[in-house]
Amino acid sequence: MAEASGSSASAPGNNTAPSTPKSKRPNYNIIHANPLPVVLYHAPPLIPHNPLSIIHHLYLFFFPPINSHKIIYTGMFSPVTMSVEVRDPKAVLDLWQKGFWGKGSLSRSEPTWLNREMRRLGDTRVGETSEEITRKRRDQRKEMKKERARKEKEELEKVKEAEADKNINGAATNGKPIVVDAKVVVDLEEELNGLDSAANQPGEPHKLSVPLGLPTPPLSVTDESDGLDLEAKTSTSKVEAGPVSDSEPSAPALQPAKVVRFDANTTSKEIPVEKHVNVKEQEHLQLTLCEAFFLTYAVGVLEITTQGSSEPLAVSKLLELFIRHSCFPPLPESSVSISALNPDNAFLINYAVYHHFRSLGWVVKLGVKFSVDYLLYKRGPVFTHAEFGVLIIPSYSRWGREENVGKEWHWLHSITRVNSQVKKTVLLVYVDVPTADDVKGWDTKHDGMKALLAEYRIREVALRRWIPGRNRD
Amino acid sequence: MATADGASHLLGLRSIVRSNLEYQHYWTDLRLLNTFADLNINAQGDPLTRPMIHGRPPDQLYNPEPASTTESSSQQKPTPEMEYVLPVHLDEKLTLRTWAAVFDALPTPPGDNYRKKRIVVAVISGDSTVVYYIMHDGIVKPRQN
Repeated sequence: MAEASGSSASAPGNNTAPSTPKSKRPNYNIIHANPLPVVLYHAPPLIPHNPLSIIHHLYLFFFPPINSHKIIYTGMFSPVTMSVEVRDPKAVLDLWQKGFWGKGSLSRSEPTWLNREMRRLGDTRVGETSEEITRKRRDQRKEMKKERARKEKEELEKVKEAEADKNINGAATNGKPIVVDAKVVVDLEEELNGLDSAANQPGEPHKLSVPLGLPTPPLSVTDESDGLDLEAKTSTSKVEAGPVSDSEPSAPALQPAKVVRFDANTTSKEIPVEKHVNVKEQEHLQLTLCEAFFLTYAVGVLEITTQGSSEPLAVSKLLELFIRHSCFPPLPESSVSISALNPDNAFLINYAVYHHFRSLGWVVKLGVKFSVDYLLYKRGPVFTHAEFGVLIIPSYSRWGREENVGKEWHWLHSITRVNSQVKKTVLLVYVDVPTADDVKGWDTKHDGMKALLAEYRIREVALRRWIPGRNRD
Repeated sequence: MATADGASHLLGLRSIVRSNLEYQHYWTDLRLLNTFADLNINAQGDPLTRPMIHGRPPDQLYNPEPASTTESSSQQKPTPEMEYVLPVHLDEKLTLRTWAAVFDALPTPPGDNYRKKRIVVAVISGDSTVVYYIMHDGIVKPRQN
């Protein structure tokens, strides 16, 4: 921090100064090296003719390194949020880092509320969070839109003025026809410049001081929720190709990407004075019912308690509790029977799908923001955007019912529209729901949960909007 | 309309939204609305169809005509309007009747009479995501840009 001169702005929390914004990013490959919150160890390959290798394997067999510390996290079921809450900071960090379980209750995904709050109150020890980066980007976009609105308005006035001139003089002052396209900013700007150089009216002198390379939103980063601003994309390419008539010494400022980076640096410029604030943690890691059940039943690293009791719930108790709380308002107590289970319930249908994709290695998150049931991430949300949006459709072929989703075309169409905007493929996941007879006696069987889940059959159909004019190859 | 048990879950939803508004989105002047008397001092103390929240967002939520850009940039922003927030759960089945009852309870917005009543619907899902929608009681002028 000491070498930070007037011009170079070093980010707080990153003491290896003059750094490019790229190196600010933590190494997610190391942080999220484990895909599950379990300790795995690798035995070297067994070489039968090498006695040392055999001894090594025998040693590992008798003294497996994980026996000593099997990790068990504790979560508490909350009837208010209808989910499982984890509050121990160590467990929260572990569950997030090893497999992206849960969501910070006051954050977008990773629990960062405490950090954000500390930064907001001026604490210098913590680094920037992803929410702040998004906020900056959105603010920039807002500014850009404001600027665009201003330009449009000016252009309109300009045209009106020119028309008035025409009416007075009787003849056109410039041969160029005036085209008003409210959508394309850059066309407006070019027009503006053309008009200015041709007519050179003394009207509003401040107009020319507006830089041509207006900061457009950074295009390298796609904002998940908004998708690529296609309008901005076209305008950038035009900015670069457009006439640079009033290029000042600050020529590189015309490259939109660089303008953005510069902005990011100036905003993070801070006086390096140590400041500590104490904030009470208000956030917890919230596991959905499916996540909690998977961690308890399939991975076996989570114990779930209820309010007023520290005794962890058994799997069958958990199942009953979760089935009751998978609809709103929740079903009353003792309305769900485990021995005479009705397989057509929201929790089991959702869980079957969750278990299916988690077992295949996808990181599964709720997709309410994209109007789907689940989002599928390859490796995890910090590495890539979600590739697929999953719509769960229960199918009752075994119930002797007619296959009818009960939805209209426009329902599906709007969902594919939303998801193609953010470059996701919609997966229709049909869950073949067993009848009560199919699963009868599951609770008396050995490993009955497995037998129960096996009755749910899953079919996937990938859906994508096809635009004949665009996808010719 | 709601049973005692259902009402307690609606209160649970509201506590989630309240903390979300306060801690994640920095709303201020948050007030819980339980009865008609909370909306209008002269009204009877009958309970509202659904518990709601009244609060002030950090920025104006919906404004079809943004303040003219020439003057707003440097000058102080006007105070954002107070908003009514209705917490709902993602798995709920809501009917037109519910919406109508919610809007009927709200006071008419002051000023020009083409302003529609407005609520912010806070949709809660199981992973603690709260998705907010702005809902008007009728057609309004669309937002620019």
